[in-house]
Amino acid sequence: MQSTSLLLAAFFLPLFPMSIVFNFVFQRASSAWIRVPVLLVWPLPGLWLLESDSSQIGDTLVLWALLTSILYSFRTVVVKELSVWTGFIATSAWSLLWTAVYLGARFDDLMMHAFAFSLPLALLAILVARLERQYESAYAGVVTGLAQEQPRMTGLFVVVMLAVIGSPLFPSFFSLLSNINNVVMVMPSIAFAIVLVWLLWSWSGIRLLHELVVGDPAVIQYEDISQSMAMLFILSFFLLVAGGLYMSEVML
Amino acid sequence: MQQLILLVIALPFISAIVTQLFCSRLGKRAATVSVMSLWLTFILACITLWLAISDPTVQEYSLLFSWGVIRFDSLGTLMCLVISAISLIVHVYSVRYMVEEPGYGRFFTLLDLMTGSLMLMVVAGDLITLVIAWHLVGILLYFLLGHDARSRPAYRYAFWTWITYRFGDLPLILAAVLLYQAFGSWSLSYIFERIAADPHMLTVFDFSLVEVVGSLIALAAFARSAQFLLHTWLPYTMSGPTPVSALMHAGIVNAGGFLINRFAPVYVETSGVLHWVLVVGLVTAVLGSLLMLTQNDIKKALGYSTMGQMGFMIMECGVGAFSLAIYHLIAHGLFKGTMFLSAGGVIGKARQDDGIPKDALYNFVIAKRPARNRKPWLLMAVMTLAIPAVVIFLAHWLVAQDFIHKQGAIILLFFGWITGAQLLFVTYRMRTKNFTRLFALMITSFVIVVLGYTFISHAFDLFLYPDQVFAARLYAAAGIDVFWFDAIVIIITLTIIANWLRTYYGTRKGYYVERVYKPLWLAFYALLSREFYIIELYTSLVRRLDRLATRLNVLLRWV
Repeated sequence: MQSTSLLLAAFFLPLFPMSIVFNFVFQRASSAWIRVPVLLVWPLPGLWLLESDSSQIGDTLVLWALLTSILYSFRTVVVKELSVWTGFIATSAWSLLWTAVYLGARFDDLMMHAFAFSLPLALLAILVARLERQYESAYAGVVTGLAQEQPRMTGLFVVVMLAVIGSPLFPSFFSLLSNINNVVMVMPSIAFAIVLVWLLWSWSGIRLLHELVVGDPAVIQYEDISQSMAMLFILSFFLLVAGGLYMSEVML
Repeated sequence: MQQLILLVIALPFISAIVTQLFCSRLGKRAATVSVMSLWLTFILACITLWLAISDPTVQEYSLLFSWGVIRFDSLGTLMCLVISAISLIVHVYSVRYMVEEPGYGRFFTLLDLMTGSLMLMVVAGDLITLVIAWHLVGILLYFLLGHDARSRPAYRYAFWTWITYRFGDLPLILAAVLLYQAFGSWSLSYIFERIAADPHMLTVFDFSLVEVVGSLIALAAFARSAQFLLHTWLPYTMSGPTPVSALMHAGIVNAGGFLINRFAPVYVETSGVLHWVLVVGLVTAVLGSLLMLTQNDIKKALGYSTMGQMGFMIMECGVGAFSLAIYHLIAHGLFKGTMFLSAGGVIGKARQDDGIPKDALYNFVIAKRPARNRKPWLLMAVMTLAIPAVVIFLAHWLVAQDFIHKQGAIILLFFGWITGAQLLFVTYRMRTKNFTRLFALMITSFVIVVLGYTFISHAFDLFLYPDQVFAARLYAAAGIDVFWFDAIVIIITLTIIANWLRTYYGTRKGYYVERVYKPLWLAFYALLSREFYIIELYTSLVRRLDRLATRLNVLLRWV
């Protein structure tokens, strides 16, 4: 029974090679209406399964989770397809949740950690779906010069990307900081692994942004995101920052 | 009144919000809002510094939760003034310089945010605020350097800066969480108090906590201040707007020196970290200066000059002269900012007319026609060695008679001595009608510079570290065994004397650069001109990592 629940948890808090299932499903879902719920809900069953008995998780599983996280974050470095990148980062982020479970974090805190990563990714998925509708594929390098063509969309893209890669005041920043804080004295190697993952996210995220935003605009110009939609996004950024500040108070 | 510090930090952020919200409505006038707020910030920063001078008691104000603490102290208020002054100059310069560029309002928003983040960094009273501000500076610099979204080179080099800064953020985060785990608080004041009470209470990985934390903070400072092997981003970020280069070279890059000063209560308890800081700083200072001399692009030469200066600043921390590093970063910030802001004008004018007067200096530096057989070489060599040594010794003796006991001060004296000797040697080789007058003028200017430097740095020492016992302990933390130190001093002194005598003798005989060394010298020059192949090394490493990641993705079919 225990091994079954662990195996199931490894699907939802993706561990390699079970992570292939999540990425396969995520890449096949082309609509934001499917991707956003998938990103928000996918890790939750894993947390429920593990929460009942966190003592099942041994050192080997944590090491496996960290290696999965490093593997996927390293793979993102050369990914240019935005939907693939989103899936990889989600895999890398969720596999870090195993360390929080291992350290005996409360279920409420685990949920906060999960949403800290999932919410910015869900916002990113909405923007990516919009780009895919316009350009037929959101491939950095093919879609280029977005700053010239769609300045409003670019602004939103930049902020979402910063939220995803764990920049300050966003929940992902405090989640990573809290994870490192909890583990640094117990298992310093885990802290170093998380730091490495964080660095790889920053590397790949900004590289992707660079390819997408900089340069001359495409010949065919598309309409920028509407002002009302932009306002909704800005509101969600404020909510994310408020969530981040709340997390900092609860977890640090 | 000390609460004014909160307004000093808040103003740039408020200005950023107003500028961004109303930039479409205000148009080009958006810059006026930004400049006006910076003027106000500068005036308030002057007042807070005056308050800190009149009452140096440390005070803290909590803004938000368990973190978000603002610290009012001498270091923070001084740095606030420096940042606001440099930022104000950059703002005023940008009003006309950037007027033709797209994203005029956005540029001022980013400048304001950068100013606010830098100020938040220097007055942060807890580790989380410090880490957040430190991190924000890196993010904002990336977007400022890549202001022109059409320019791929600008973004490419902005990315180098980004990744180096991120590399430097992470050791600071590790240091912060280690300190929190050790003392159960994010507050800097509390942590410093506990460290002072029992510095070697805790160990991490079998090392003393202060040694580990000191090393991590030094690593963060190295990345931010472009120390050797983490320096490649600095000379290449010239594709960004000139005002950003000025702000970066005059202010942002100095953050390493500030960070080490902020954690002085940690470093005072260390025994080995400052030696590594000295070595890294020394290597950076020498290589940065050498690389500067080989550049033919004025901006790149300025970039490497900054690298050399940053090396010197870090080196000053490494010898325990913490307050001197702050003085150095302020002086460097002001002169480098000026040079960057006038570089464009100089290049423009030089294209029409080089404007170089064909005088003695021209003959010596450009035409390379040094004078020969002027005065008795032995007398000149003795004067060259003796005069700077006496001037420097007396200047330091005037402000602090016990400086001779500080190893760090002695090390820095060597640099002053060599610089003075070089100045007199150059005078000796220059063609001039009235040699005695020129020589006397050189000595007078040297005396003025040394006296000014010594008195000002002493004033900084008294202001930043009024507790003289603490200041002496900082020097002691950087010290080594007295026997070895004395031995090194004697060897270096003899080497310097012997080499200057040899140089004078060689100049007299007309073989300044000996033929034997010429091939070796050329090989070294070739190595310098390729900047030690460090960029090629990093590029090759990144390509290999890219290839590996691509292979893994292909193997796993991108899922």
